[in-house]
Order: sequence, then C-alpha cells, then structure tokens
Amino acid sequence: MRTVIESQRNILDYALSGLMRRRGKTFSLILLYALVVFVLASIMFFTHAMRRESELLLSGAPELVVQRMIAGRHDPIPLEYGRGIATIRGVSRVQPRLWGYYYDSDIRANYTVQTTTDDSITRGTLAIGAGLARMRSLKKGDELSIWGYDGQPRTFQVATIFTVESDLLTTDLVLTHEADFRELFHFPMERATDLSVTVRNPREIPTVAARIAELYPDTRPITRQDILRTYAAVFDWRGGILIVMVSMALLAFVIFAWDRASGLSANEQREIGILKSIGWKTEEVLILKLWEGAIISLTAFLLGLIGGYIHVFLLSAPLFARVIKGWATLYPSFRLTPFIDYYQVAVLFVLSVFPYLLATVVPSWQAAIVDPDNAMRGSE
Amino acid sequence: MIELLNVTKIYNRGRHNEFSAVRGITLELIAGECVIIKGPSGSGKSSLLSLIGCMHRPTSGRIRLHGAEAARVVGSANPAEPVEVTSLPERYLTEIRRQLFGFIFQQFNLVRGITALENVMLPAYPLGVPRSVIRKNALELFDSLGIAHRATARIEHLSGGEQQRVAIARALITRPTALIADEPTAHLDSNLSREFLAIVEKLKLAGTTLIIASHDPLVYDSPLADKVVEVRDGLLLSPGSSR
Amino acid sequence: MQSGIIALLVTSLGTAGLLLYAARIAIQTLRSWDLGSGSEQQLLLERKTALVSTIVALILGFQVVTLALFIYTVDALHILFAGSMCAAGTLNVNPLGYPSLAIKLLCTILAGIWMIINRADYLAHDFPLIKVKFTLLLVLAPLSLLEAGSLTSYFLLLKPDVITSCCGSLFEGGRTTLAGLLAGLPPVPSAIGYYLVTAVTLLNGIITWRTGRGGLLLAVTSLAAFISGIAALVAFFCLYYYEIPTHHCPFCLLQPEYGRIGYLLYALLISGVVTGCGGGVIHLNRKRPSLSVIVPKLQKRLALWTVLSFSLYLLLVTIKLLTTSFRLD
Ligand SMILES: Nc1ncnc2c1ncn2[C@@H]1O[C@H](COP(=O)(O)OP(=O)(O)OP(=O)(O)O)[C@@H](O)[C@H]1O
Ligand SMILES: [Mg+2]
Repeated sequence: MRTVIESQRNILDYALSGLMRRRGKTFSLILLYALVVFVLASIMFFTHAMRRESELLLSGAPELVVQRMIAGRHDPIPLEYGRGIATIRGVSRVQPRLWGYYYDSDIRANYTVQTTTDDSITRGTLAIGAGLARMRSLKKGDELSIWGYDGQPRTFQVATIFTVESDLLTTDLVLTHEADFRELFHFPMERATDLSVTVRNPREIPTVAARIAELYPDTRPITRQDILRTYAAVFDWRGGILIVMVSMALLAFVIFAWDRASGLSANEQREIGILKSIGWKTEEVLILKLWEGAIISLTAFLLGLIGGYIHVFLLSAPLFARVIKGWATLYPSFRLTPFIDYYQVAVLFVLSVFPYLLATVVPSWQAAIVDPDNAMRGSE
Repeated sequence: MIELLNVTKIYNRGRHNEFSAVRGITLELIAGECVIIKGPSGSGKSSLLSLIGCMHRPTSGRIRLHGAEAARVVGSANPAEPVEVTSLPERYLTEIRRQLFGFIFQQFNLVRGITALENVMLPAYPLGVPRSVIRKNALELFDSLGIAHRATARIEHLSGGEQQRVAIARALITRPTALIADEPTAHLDSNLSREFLAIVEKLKLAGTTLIIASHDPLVYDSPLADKVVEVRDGLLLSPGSSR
Repeated sequence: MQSGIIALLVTSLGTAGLLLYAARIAIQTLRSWDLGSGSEQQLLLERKTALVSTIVALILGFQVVTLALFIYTVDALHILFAGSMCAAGTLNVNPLGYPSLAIKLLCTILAGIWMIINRADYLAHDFPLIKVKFTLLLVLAPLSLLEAGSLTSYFLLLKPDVITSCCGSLFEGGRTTLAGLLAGLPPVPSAIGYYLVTAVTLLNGIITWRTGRGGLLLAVTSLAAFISGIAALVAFFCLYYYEIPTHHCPFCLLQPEYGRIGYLLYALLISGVVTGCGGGVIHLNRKRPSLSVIVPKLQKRLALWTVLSFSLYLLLVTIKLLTTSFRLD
C-alpha cells in the first residue's frame, strides 16, 4: 500500500514537472478550458440565484390568490366575492389587494404600484424601492410626481426607501395608500385587483381553491405552488437554452482536447519511448497521462468556477444579465445574494471534467503503448 | 541466469517489410560473467540484447530466467523453477526488466529538458520508493562516477562523456543484477572508453552480470570479457569462445 | 435542474459510447486471443486490455457520481410536478423513471463486479479471466446503451404540470406494484427477517475473511442481505426516520430534513453487494493454477469489505431504532 502511494506520488510529481516543461501548450489549453467552464458556471450560478431570489420573494406571497376573469382576461374582482369566500370552511381570512403597473416615460421603466395597510404610509406619501430611488436620485422626504388617469400629475412625498433581503422584484416597487391608489388610477370602488386568501390548514388549499372555482365560476384561484412552478419553469427554460448552447462549445472544446491529446509532439513521443525502455509499464505511462489530464481539468474547473462566482456575485453578471433578465432598465447595479450549493458545483464538475476525461482516455492509451525497443534502436 | 533456446525475432511479420533480425540463437548467460557480443552493423546485436533484456517477446523459441528474483516477480510458487519469459504479458516483462536489468543505450536516450539528476531518478519512480531516497541514491552514483558537479545541469548542456556517465548512473539506480550495454563506447574517444572499462571492472568485481554489444576492439579484446560471441546476419558465429 | 439533466445525459451518452468501443475490443479479443503466440496482433490485444480496464474504471467512477446526481436531480425536480413530494413522484411521472433508476443501479453494480474480476485477472500472469471479464463486458455495454436511451427518453418526456402520485400513495401497502408490495410487508416480521439474514451474512463474511472458505455462499447471502436491507428499510426502519407510522417512502430519506442519510445507507448496501458478489465470481475461478494464491487473498479482503459495509448499515439503522422516541404500536 505504501509503495503504491509513493509510486503514485512520484508519477504525479513527474506529471507536474512535464506540464511545466510544456508551459505554453499547457497554459493555452487550461485557459481555453477554463473559459468554457467560466461561461457555464456563470449561467448556472446566475439562473439558480435568480430563481432563488424569486422563491424567497414568493415565500412572503399569499398562499392563494383569487382573480376574476372576464372573457379570459384579468378584471377587478368585486369585494362581495371576498365576503362570500370568507364563509368557506377552512378559510381564515380574505384580503383584497390593489396593485398594478405604472410606466414612467422619464426613465422608461415600469414600476409596480401596490397599496399597503402599513400606518407609516399616509395619504400623499409613498414608499419606494431602492432601485427606483437610485434611478430618480430620490432621498427620503423628496417629492415624486406620478401622472394620474386624467393626465394630471399628483405629487407624493417619499416616506420610506426600502431594501429587503432580495431586491430582485422589490427594487421597482412603489407602495401607496389605498385611497391614493383608487384616486390616481380611477380604480372602481367596491373592487380590488385580486383577493388574497389565507387558509388555516395548508393541506386544504387545493380543496378551498376547488370550492372557490365552484362558487364563482368566473374566478381563477392561483396557489403559491402554481406560481413557484411557473417561475422554476421560466428560469430553467431560459438557463437551459443557454446551457445547451454552451454545451455545444464544450463539445467543440472536447474535440479540440482529443485532437491535442492524440497528436503528441515528436519530443513527447520520444520521452514516452524512453520511459517505457527504462522500465515504466504501459499502465504507469497511462496513469502519467491521466494525471496530466486530471491536473489540467481540475485547474481549469477551479479557475472557471471561481471566475464564474466573481462574475455573477461580485460583478453582477455584466456579460449576459440582459439576456436572462429581459426587462433590465432598473437593475444596472443590483447584486445577487451569493448562493451556491454543492449540487451546482457537482453538476458543473460532471459537465466539464467528465467529458474531458472521456475524450482523453483513448489518446492517452495510444501514447502509452509506444514500443520500448524504439529506444533500443535509438531513433534520434 | 538467462537461457536462450533457438530464439528468433522477426520484425513486421506478415507485412511487405518483414525482416528477420535474429534467426535462431541458442545462448546461455551465466550470472556474474561479462559477455561481449560483437558483429558488424546490422547483424542483430541490438535485437539480441533487447530479447535478453526482456524488451519484447521473441517471435519463436524460448527464453528462460533462472534465479529467485525472477520467480518472485511472477509470483511463482517454486523459486527453483526457471521462469519462462516467452509468453509472459508485457507488464511482467517490464517488471522483470526493471527488477533485474539496467540498460545503457546506444544513443543514451536521455530525456531532454530535465536535469541530469531527474533523468537518473526516472527509472525508480514507479517502484514506490520515496523520492527523497531515490534522490539520495542518485547523488551517490553521481559522486562515484565523478559528475556530481553536473547533477543539476540540463541534459542538453552536458558533453558526450558526461551524458554517457549519466546514462550509466541511470542504469544503476535500480541496483540491477545485470547491466546491458549497447555500443557503450561508440560516441567516446579512446580515453573515455578506457574510463568506461574501468567502471565496468568495478561493477564486475561487485558481482554484476555484464552483457555488452560492441564492435570496438578496445572492448571485445579487453581482459574483462569472460566470453565473446559473434553475431552475423542474425546467427551466432562463434558459440561462446570462453577464455 | 436543467443543467443537471444535461450533465446526466451527456455523461450517460459518453459512457455508452466508450463502453461500446470497449465492447468492440472485447469481441476482437474473444475471437482471436492466443496467449502462446508472440504475434504483434496478440501483443496489441494484450495492450488493449489495459485500455479496457481504464475505461471501465473511469466509468465506474462516473456511475457512482451520476447515480447520486440522478437521484438528487429527480428529488429536486419534484416541485415541478403537482402532487409529488420527493423523487418517488418525479420518477413516477412517466413509465421510464423507475426502469432508468433500476438500470443505472444495475450498471453500477456490474461495473463494480467487473473491476473485481479485472483485479484478479491483472494480478495473475496469464490472463486467466480474460474470457469471463470480456463476456461480462458484452453484457455491460448494451446495458449502458439501454440506460442512456431510457434516461434520455425519460427526461425528454418529462412534461411539467403532470399530476403525479406522491410517495405516500405509491408506497402504500395493499397495492399490487413492487413499491406497494414492499410497503405492505408487515413491519416487525420484515425487520426480524432482515436481522436474521444479515446475521447469517455477517457470520459467513467473517468466516470467509478469516479462513477463505464459503466465498460462493457469501455471494448469495450478500445478495439476500442487500434485498432484505432495502425491504426492511422500506417496510420498517424508515418509519423510525420519518416518525410517521404509515410513511414508507425510500426516497424521502435522501432529503435534507433527514440529513440525507439515505445516500449513506444505499451506498453501504451497494458496496456490500458488490464486494460480496464480486468475491463469489472470482471464487468460481480459484482452481486455475495461476489464481490459486491470488484469489483466496483477494477474496478475504473483499469479504472484509462486505462485512464492514453491512455491519455499518446494521449499526446505523439499529442506532436510529433505539435512539428515536418514536414507537410503533
Ligand atoms: N523494429 C524494427 N523493425 C524493422 N526492422 C528492424 C527493427 N529493429 C531492427 N531492425 C532491423 O534488424 C536488423 C538488425 O538490427 P540491429 O539493431 O539489431 O543491428 P545491430 O547489430 O545492433 O546494428 P548496429 O551495430 O548498427 O547497432 C537491421 O537491419 C535493422 O534494420
Ligand atoms: Mg545496435
């Protein structure tokens, strides 16, 4: 056992020194490889972090939301529906919600406007998200004009600027008083955008949802599970397409690596011939070659992994944030919460190291079967 | 210690460039002896040496190794029984080769780009000896061969004579029981050749078996030789004129 | 998750490709193997055996990693499917889920056994097991192709929004499926059965380890210990992990709520059955002269591994049984 470990150590040492001797070739290979891993890692970290942000946000969202549909379109829901729903068994509370979007032509961005029951927001005041505050350079106490339904601007005072754990979906948020909201958008009284329903026992949510759909056939109950699923699907889909594209790049790289590994230089071939002639077995030369491959792919993997981490979490993924996020005006400097799990690292490892090993095993063997008596004949 | 029975070696068999380099040689080499193989260029000396040294398997005929060491390598139950090399898998040939033989090649065959010291250490790497021990042994060999000051120089910066001695050191690093040398003096002037013979003498006194191919009269006429055999066209001309 | 699926597909396709290549070598070798001949073709074939060993070793490594990755991925995917709570539901989304898992498991075990045969063959000087191991390779290669195909179709057919069953209903006693059958086993008798089988296996293993005898029997008993280990886990021990008297799911054990203990438990069972059965296969060939010294030595080592794996498993489930406050009445 000792001797096995020692011989492996010696062979590993020699593999390292061989790679250093062929510095130019080694580093160009590692660089290219690391680049592929870097792109792959960036995409994975990014989509994953985005999805987690939205999940985090949704964890505060209501378990069950009821919308009213007219001709298949979302329409304000009468408050009396809410009173009816409150009588269903298992429902503990029904809360009407008022929210919508507002387009700010100055900075060409959409805000999400929502009412709040928080006491700190009185009539004529607002709370805004940090991203919006930055874009419009607003401080607490400043004034913000919003154009109403009639084309007349209303002026509000900024009471709070909030930052929360996740700023992905709250960065463009504006919170108003209910009366202001109705006045601003001329929102019909006795109606709400939708209803948030609290159910005492989470296991009964599907039952309650079915009961609501039965009582009010023109409504659509949406559970938080549904939304989570949709989010997961959307982010995965966007990320998936990119990953397929990068996998193509990876494939190209693997072919390149195979080519590199199979086309040994005359010097390397001579060196292997010498090793064989002075008593290295085919297996040992093969192990030497596999060590070389392992060193290259692990180094490239680590470099790409660290690079991807820095790119996504420290630099906010400048290279492709727009591609994935889509609506990006408000997010130029927003930061994702650093978040990596072992699973992603494992997947990245499998995706980047395994193909390389698969591609180099046969060429390595071909290199290792050079005849030892080549050296005897002294092919100089 | 080594017995060759009607051994042949045909290169590229079955192809248009088929070539019979060894055509039926029977030869016995005794442990501790110094055997010189002479013959003109292309007669098959190197091919014979690589058969003796278990570089590859013969095309036909049998090669047997006597001695406990070879028996241990193949895990044979009875150490007194000779080991039949002919049909062993390659890795066993290699194992026997590195346990029993040290090689000095016609062209030295040193790895360029690394130091003389590392070249000498190379054969011992897969044997599972710690690096520090290999290094110590190698440095001792450099000392005894008088090239200690060149240990950390790169191979391509060494003179022919120095390279030769590095090649000798490399052949001895695994403490072989037999040393196989192929035209060891081909690249040396007569002074260096004599120095080489002095080294050979020391090894012989230490009990090492020596098998040397050479067409240099300085070598085959030297008093060190216990036996001189002549090869011509793959056949043995003088079946071991012992002195 | 998408990336995990792509990683799995890429690896399984690559694995299958490489194994088919190895199978071609195996066919060539089986056809024209002639150890006595010193021909260059024979030499090349001998050299190719080194390539095949390396390929299978690499692939065994891949299989172990991707088996865990596969289970983890389907476990994580469960949120996409209404009604599922863990891997059990995701695997049930379409009919290829469970077969994929089974084939993958089988491939891993076979690759492990192959490596053991290969080890014995490598230690001897006259390739005594070359026919055995290359024939086994001809089984492994198509199986791995099947795995790649079934895995690919499983993931391609994986449509979100499918309503699937949760583990609670899949692993429910009284159903006629294998899962239902396992869950329906009477808990206490199956636990007793497990302890009996394992005790016999461990005894057998210790005898083989100390004396080298009973190697063939150990293959049988370790297979039995593997199966009864899984059966008792589903029927009995998992209840103690979940502390719910009716929850029989073998997959929830892989979730973080239970410390992902399932990965360790299944790894121990697999390692036990691979070393046990591998030892049995080489035992069949111990009579060959070149193996007469090698096989018993290797077998003893393997038996030790079998004993260690199964006894650690036994220790883990028993400790859980004794330390939890949950009681089955
Ligand atoms: N691998 C090979 N393939 C084909 N022919 C070979 C091979 N090795 C040697 N030969 C041929 O076999 C013959 C004998 O070669 P060998 O090297 O044994 O001669 P030698 O006596 O050592 O010659 P020299 O004194 O020049 O070293 C030569 O004609 C050579 O061309
Ligand atoms: Mg020659």
